Amino acid sequence: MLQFKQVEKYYGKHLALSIPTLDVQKGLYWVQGENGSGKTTLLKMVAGLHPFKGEIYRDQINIKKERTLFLRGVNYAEAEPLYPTFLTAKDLVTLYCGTRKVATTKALEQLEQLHISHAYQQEIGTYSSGMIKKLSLVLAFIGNPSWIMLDEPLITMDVAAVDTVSNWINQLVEQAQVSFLITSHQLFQTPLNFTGNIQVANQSLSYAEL
Amino acid sequence: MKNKAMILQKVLVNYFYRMNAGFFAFFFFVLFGVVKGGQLINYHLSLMQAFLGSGILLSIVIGIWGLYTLKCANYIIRRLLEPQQLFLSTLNQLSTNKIRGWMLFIHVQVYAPVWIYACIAIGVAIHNGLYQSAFIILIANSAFMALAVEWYTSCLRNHGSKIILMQWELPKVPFIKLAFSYPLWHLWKERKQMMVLTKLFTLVFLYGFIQLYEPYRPDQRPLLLCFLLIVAAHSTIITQIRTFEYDSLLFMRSLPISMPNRFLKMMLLYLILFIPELIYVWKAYPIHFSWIDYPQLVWMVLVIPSFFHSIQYTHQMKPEEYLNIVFVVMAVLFFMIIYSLTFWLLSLMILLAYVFFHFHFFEFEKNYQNKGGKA
Repeated sequence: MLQFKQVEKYYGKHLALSIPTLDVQKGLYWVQGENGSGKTTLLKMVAGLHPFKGEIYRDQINIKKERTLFLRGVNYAEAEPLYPTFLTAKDLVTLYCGTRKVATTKALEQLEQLHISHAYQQEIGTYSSGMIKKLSLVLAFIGNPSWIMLDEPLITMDVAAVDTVSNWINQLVEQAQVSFLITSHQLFQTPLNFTGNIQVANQSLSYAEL
Repeated sequence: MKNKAMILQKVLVNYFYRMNAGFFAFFFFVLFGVVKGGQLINYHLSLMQAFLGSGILLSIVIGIWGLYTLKCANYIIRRLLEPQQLFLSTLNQLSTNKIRGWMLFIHVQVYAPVWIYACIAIGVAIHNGLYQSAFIILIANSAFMALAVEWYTSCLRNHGSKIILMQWELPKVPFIKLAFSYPLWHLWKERKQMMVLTKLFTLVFLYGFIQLYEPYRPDQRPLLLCFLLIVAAHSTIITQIRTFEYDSLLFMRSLPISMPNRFLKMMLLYLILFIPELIYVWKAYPIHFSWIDYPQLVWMVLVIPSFFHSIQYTHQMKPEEYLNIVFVVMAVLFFMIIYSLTFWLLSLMILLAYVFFHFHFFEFEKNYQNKGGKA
């Protein structure tokens, strides 16, 4: 379960998001809201990328007090991933697998399924934006997370890849009880079994079960 | 006209001196800090007479000026190519000769430390009847300046397409790049000139120190001072590393890596960065230091850069603020070295660095105060 207590995120003096209290049970959630409403901010706070006021817990683990333990159970894929251009997919897969203490075998299979394994040893500077997006999604599935945050996973990807990633999500939810927070302005072609919606508007969150 | 001068001055010249303040501090110490005030003029006159009277030394000096020209060109061209300086392409409406004029206006200012020194050297050469040396210095500096002006003009006219300055690529490496080394790869890929020139300058400085200074008795303090200046000369590189870390390695924040592990990786990065100096210094063994002193040198190149790096997490520092801290730290360390208290101060600094790192690493973000929203 994810718990938010008195969470506030400011950019300078501008309040971007305020979550007095919210418990999000395990499940697959569609985070919806207009551009600039704070969806990415929400995901980045949980992924440890954005500082904020207040407390966020994952299964009673406080992100600020036990950050390494917290992050061991949270993976994140950015909407527009940015990696140093001189790195290769191999460098990043090795880094992610190393920090999450798993073998690279599964990630290599997933790269194969997304048809980018041929570029495994190429510098990311030679990748198209779709290839970088696919790589970032593979990185987000590495290890044994209990939560995966996917920020606009559908953008820049081809139709086949969207289906493949959707199937991964459904499999992980059903077989491994992995939870997801997914933002997307587009509809999924392969239906996802969403547990509920999280609406982000007016700097706050509201939760609705489906 | 006045507006153009002001904008160019602000965007290109002020930026250059701000970015290189650590580098100039290093040379300021080398040229003015190593002798007593009363002997300063005689010291520089002797220095000038030495290179004016020797073909080899004159070649070395001109070589150093050439390196400085490359450094200037590297900075100005990179600055001109930044997307936020795209508005400077309006200068293209001027004739090529007018652009050259403006570029000369810029270069005269960034090249000032060299041409002022070169003018004095020419005066000394003429006074001593060394007309050939005076002529060579004049020609060399004119050529360097003309070359730099042509580079800048070409950069503006072609938006960098014809710039071939240090554009070589590393061969593809078959091994995996380790996370701690990403900033070094970045420096090599994007800041080659800065890296190569800083290393050249510091190694030449170390060579000069070892060759010219002979201690009466074994004393590690002069060598520690020398390393203090070498680290100061890297202060701009440290800023570059920190900027790269925030701009391109933000994704690493979401990885489950403990704080001590992250901190040790940063120290390892700086150990690797200073390996050339740490190896080359063995040329000074055993006259300048004994093997027992060596760990203190290593400790110094680990601690000071880690400290400079870590203080940049506390808030988004302006370059002036950062450089003020660099100067203060240098001044305090200078006295601590003199009074042989370096080890203790360095130990305190590494503790402070870890505290800054631990409490600010995840809290740091760009300053949004004046923006009212996300950048």
